Amino acid sequence: MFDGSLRFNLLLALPALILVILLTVVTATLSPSFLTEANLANIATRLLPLGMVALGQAIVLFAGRIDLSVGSIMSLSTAIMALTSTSLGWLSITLTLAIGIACGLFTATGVIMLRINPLVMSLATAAIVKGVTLLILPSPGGEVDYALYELLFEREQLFGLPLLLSLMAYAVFAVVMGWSRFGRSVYAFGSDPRAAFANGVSGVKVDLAIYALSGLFSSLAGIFLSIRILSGDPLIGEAYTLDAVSAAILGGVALQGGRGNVIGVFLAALSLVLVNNTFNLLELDTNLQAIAKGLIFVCALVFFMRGKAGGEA
Amino acid sequence: MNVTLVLSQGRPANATLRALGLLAILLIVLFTASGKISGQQVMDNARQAAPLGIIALGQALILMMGRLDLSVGAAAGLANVVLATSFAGDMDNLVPALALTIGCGLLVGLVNGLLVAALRIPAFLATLATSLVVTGILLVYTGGSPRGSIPAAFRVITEGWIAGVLPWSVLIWFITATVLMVFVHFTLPGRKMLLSGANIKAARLNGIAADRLVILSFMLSSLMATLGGILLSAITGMASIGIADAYTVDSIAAAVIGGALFAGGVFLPAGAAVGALLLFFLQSLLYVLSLPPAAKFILQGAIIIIALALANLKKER
Repeated sequence: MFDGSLRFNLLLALPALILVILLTVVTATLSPSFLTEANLANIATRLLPLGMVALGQAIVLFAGRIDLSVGSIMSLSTAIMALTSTSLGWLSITLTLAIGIACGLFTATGVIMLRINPLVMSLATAAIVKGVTLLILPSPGGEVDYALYELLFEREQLFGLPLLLSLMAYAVFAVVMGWSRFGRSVYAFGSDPRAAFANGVSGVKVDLAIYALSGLFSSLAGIFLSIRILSGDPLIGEAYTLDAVSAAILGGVALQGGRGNVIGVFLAALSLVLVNNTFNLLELDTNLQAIAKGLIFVCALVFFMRGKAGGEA
Repeated sequence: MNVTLVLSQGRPANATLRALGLLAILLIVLFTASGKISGQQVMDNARQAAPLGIIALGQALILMMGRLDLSVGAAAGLANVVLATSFAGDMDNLVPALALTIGCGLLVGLVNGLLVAALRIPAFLATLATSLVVTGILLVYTGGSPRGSIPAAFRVITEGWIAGVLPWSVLIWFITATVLMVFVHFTLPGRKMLLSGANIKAARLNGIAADRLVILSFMLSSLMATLGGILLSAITGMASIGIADAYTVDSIAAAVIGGALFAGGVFLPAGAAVGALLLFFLQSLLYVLSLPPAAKFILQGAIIIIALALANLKKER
């Protein structure tokens, strides 16, 4: 079961694991409030949206594609939730997810039918989605049903719903990506599209599936975020695009596709949340966070992506 | 170099002509909608489009290298803050302020270039990372509220008109585009850079120091972004955080509308200029039609898709 490639893939999660341990030890030593249940619950709460959006991004990256529209889809999802959740109830979640998937399929369509570079196509989708979001919700506002907040975040405990939801999603996709026919074809397509095609993997289906999943996870992230802030915000997702790519790369996912696993991505997402938490607990300048995250990103790039550019990208 | 070669190089490319056609249609729509038409109005729009136009030139150069620079918005924002802070509203500081601003810009480009050429990190990720770090440094340095201002005498470069018909900023834009065009198409390092963009392996096999040219191209792109940031500062007269962020996507859109290909090997400065004008007039049109500013993003995305789809369809035929 743990064949060579899988062991190698697990090894990729090591830097993220070390970072998580390092941050935990340092922050726990320096701040007594780190290990309180309220703070750990807070970490789990913040991990939920980033974890979702990073998982979607990672799946796209496994196939050698990229999706820079995830942040915009998140913002759009918070807006739809804020505008419909009090009137439509549970239906609004279904609606939001459907629209998220539609956004992903839009990107896939451009990549497949118009043969537009995935990076740029997703940037174009991001611009369009951002415009639509600002049209329906020009400034932060609206209202999300408080019952949803009670359900998800009210009980401040470490092993509450937020952490369980993250763990569940990652566990399911660890199995799906590692052992299912779909997962293997995504990796195969990412390693070598032509060889994958010759072996019966349909590139069109892979593109449709990965971007639909990315859209789905982005809107899930947006839904959780809107429930946490109990409103919508047309620009709140912007920062998540970079964080999602950053988490995936720090988690050992290769940009050219075919390499990486979701366990590394989970640990990397956790470490980004921990960075955030450390800065808050130690009362450091919040602006330094941007630099710290940027430097972590650069280090992850140098560590994992060095020598990968070749002649292109 | 013989005359026919120069002339054939000078002939606008098909992509540029297509963009020009689009621009003409847009202008007609704009003038019918607003009911006013004057050359002065066009020039006034061009005056304000100059920062984007110059930044798009840099982006077009990077696209020629088959890469993408996602740090131009941050670099322009950096120029804005550094210029305003070091000027501190006093024209006496002109030389040190400009030197410092351009120096910072070149440093960003150098870091980008080294990340891409020496460490071989994919360019869009490397530039994304530098933009994050630059934005962070700006936030820490200014504490979120930058001080300083641009002296009125310096703001002539965007507010002033030559003989009342030609704005200074348009002239600066035109000169920059011409210099870059001559550099890429008519000088040896430029030709080598173009070849490195079209096929970096072939360039290396022919003994071209492609890596050095990649670094140079990123420094030029950051320089263009800095110039754009300086013009933008002259328009606003003060420093603000995040003022230039939109230029990253805008510059890609402008270059792509102007016929830039993601595969690299194409440099059309006139096309990029027309693309920048097109985007700017589009914004004016939205304003005239009193559509919400959000519509700009939708149109921008749609334009990128249409421009690239047209280019791809043509290639397949």
